[in-house]
Amino acid sequence: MSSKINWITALAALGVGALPQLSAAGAGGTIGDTDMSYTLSGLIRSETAFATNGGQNPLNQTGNLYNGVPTTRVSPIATDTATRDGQDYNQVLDMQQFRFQLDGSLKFSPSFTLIGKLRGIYDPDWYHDFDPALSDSHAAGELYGKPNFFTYDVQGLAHPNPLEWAGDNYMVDFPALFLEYNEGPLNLRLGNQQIAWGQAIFFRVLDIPDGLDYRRHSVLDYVPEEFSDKRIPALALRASYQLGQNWLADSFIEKFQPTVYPNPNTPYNVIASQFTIVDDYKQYDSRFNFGLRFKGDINGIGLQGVLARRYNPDGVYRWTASGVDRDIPGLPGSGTVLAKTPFEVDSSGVWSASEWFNYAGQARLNGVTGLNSAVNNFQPATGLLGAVPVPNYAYASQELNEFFQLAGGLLNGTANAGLRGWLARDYREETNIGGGVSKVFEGAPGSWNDQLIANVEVLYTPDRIFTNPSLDVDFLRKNETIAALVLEKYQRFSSALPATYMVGQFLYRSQSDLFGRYLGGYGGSFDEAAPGKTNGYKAFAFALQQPFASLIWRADLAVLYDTGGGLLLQPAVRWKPNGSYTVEAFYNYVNGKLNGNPTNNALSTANYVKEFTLRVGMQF
Amino acid sequence: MHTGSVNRRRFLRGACASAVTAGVLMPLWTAIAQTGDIARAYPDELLSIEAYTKGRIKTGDEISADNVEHVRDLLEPIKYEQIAKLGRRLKVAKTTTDLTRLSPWEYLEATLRNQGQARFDAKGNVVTLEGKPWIGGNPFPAPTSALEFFAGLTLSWGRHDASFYCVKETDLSPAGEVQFQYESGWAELAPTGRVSVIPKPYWPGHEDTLRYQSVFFAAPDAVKGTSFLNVWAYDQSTFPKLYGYLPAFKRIRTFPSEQRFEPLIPGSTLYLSDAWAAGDPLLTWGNYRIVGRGPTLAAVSHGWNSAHPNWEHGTHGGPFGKTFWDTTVELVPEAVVVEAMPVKFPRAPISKKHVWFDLRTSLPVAMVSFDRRGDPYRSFDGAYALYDAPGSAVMDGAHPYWSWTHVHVFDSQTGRMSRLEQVRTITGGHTTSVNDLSIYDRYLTNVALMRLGDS
Repeated sequence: MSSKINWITALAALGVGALPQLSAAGAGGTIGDTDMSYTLSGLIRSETAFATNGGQNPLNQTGNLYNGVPTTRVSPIATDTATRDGQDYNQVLDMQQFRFQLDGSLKFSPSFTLIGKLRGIYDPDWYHDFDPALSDSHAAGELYGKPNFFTYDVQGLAHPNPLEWAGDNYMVDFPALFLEYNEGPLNLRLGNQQIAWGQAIFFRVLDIPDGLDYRRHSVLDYVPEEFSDKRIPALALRASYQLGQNWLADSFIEKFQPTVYPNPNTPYNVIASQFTIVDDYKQYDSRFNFGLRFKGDINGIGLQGVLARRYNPDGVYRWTASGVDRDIPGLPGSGTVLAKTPFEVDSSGVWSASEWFNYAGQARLNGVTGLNSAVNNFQPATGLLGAVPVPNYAYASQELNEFFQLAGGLLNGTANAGLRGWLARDYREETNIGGGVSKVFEGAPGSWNDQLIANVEVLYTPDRIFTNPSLDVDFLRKNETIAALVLEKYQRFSSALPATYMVGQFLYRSQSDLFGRYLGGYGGSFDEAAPGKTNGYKAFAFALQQPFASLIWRADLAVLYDTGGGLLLQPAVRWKPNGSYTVEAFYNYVNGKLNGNPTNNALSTANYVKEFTLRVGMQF
Repeated sequence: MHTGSVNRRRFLRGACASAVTAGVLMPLWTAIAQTGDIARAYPDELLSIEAYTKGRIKTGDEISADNVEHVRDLLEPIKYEQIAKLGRRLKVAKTTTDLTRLSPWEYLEATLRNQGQARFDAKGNVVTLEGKPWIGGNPFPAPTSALEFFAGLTLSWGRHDASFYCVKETDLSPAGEVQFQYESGWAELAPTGRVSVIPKPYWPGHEDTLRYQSVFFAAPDAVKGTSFLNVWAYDQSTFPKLYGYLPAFKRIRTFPSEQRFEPLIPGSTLYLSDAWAAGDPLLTWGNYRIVGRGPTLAAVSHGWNSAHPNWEHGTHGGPFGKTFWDTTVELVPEAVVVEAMPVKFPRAPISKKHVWFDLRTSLPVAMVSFDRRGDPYRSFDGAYALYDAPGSAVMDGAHPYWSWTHVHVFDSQTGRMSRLEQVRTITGGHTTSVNDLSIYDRYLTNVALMRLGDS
């Protein structure tokens, strides 16, 4: 034995056993895992959005574009003028919510942990709300009276989200409540959880497991948080397995949970409030989604592939019988027939053909074929009421005005109501096949292509089911391809400032827009039925983050440009003065009228949004 | 017997030599190889603070603003300012001469066994004489150049094959108020250059990888779940692959990894580049040269607080008594100051760094970085210990655990301080461990990041 190590081995013989041991030396010398332990933390936060332009959402009664606007109606039976009264209010606040969150974990052993997250939201309703009594509205349905901010209304289901309790002004749910088992390369999670896939940010190409919850701040929340507060959790079993050094296998089976949209007459409503929606989720609440993903690296090229069979959480819409027996004024008994059609007489409905076509365009529906499918799908009731299919916009306009005149009380000499349209929300299964490639480029130090990350993701869905722009019971079936290119970079522009993080993205969707609406319903307006949009949907996004010294301050900018003429801009500032408090301030500017017809882009739905949001939170 | 003045002259002659010749009375590594003790390599005045200061400072004394002038030449400039002006104090302990108390046992054994078998290949990476990845221990225990100091350090930070550190961090404002407190876990695993765990010296199939390293934040709520995984290639001219899990995105994404001079979390002055004073691949820095040499005061022992159940340390100094760790230092007979420049980071806020290496062990004991104007900017001073005290010890297997214990990261231009300490356990039930290969699946894979990312 070398003299160099003689003294070490001699000391070793002396040392072992001479030193008392704190814990039994296991293989490798783990000092000793703790026994049961728990963690508990949380936050409370105020979230306020101030409207800087009056805050009128045209999809709500109080923001309807025809409120107070005398509108001429020409029909075969009369020519008159109707002035809709939806209570035209400006808003100071778009949103005031108070949030409470509690995060906890209970570790039973190194392998078993229970993880939970509790979320509570309260909206004190400090808005100038629609009051149905003031408009003599008696619209059927829990959500069509005074605004209800959080209830997710599904016929026949008290808790569509099993671990959520919601009411007019509050919601409480568990975004996470699951048991985790970890052993070596295997990780299992069983319980309510959120699952996110893909590298693209905001453009959900491969991010297919979860639907989204738009009830709180819609898509207008703080961009750096992406969808972390939006993903709908679901009861699921998720299994992840590390295959060697470079590969990861990830799979799930989960209870299907749909996307939840804001309720009518709430600030960020996205469905025209003249519609009544019957959500048929109860028929699907015991259905399951499945998914499998592989992600890895070969010679510096990142690869991933996904395969899923799921119910599209967006759902698809069609006309449905209203079931509301309310007579057309002056036509006793007409209510029983009208109940078998998709229409309901009410002041909160549509009052004119102009409004019908305007809002059909906003909803990306075809006003002419929409009328025809309502007439054809609900025979003989519609026929008994004298409705006939029409060949073009002119005939449709005349027929519609006749309906609205009668619903408004023409026979009694009044014009004070319209017709609400009833839609059913259905769900359909689809198969998603996708993949992605990524690479980190290397260049000269400090150059633009050094450590530039490029990522391409593609998702193909054969026979995806879309809402027919006519709202026909026969949905559309189209193959859809969605693709995104993502470029990311940190770049130091100055030695005095930390590096700037930048990401640029391009999105292409072959059949639908950013929100899943079929492109065939694009382009409609008050004087034209939707001609549809060809050549797919394209959008660009750019975001940057500029931290300042010690990350106490950070400035962000997010830009979304829809090539159809829409723009979303969000400059933001974040201030974190200490561990307890965080202040985030950001401005949302949406312009959906950059060029031409606003219904040629996706963002015009939120064109009314010009708001300043302030979030003040305290962590504990 | 040599007189003190004769010894100083011999020492300074050695300091001026272009090659690093350690030891004054006899070559350092001759002494180490023979006995494992350095006492025969240095005269009394370099082994005893009393002798060095001619009795002005004694073992057991506290260095403070009142007496720091007696040891000013033993302190790096920012530490001197902290003591002179900010209320920092250092307790003085006896110089450690037993080398087995200054490094992990197996690492030291491998160093001696493998001495003379290391070289640089054409790219500048450390390899064996046969051109294979390094086989464990310090490849250059008797460094002959500045580069060799950093090469050995970069190859093995913590000197264990697998380490998981539970860390508590406190960030203070320039006014000395605690602004942020974090709990994090830091994992390092060496697939090459192993000295202890089987298989060694390589993990088959991973010979092209130098290190798996991750950091995740367990508390507070604002950062909980944030985690990053670096996979270091053995080739030190390339940047590590960086994967990150951000709770906001709820998924693992690949991140650019060349920006290593950024604060990771609000309030922190710690950069990725700071890790072990060699947080970047060796060949992304350059112009390595020796700029100083001499004795120094450093916290190479006594850093472990065995009296606290979670190993937490006391604080003192600053306006509120919370700015500095209670630190014990000893006279290190020989330290070499190595300068390096961030040649592959053209807009780094740092123009160069100086790192003090304890020549006995080639461990970094202090670092000062300089801004683009060449002014002192940040300092990074750490403390180490053998986790072995009367009546208690922590074992790394067969031997007492050696590791870092606490560190100060100080921005001298703003007055911000981040102080970190290694503790026994943190929120979430994580526990410090050493040479436990299960940390790979628990902390160093993409599945691990997803799990640590929580809900």
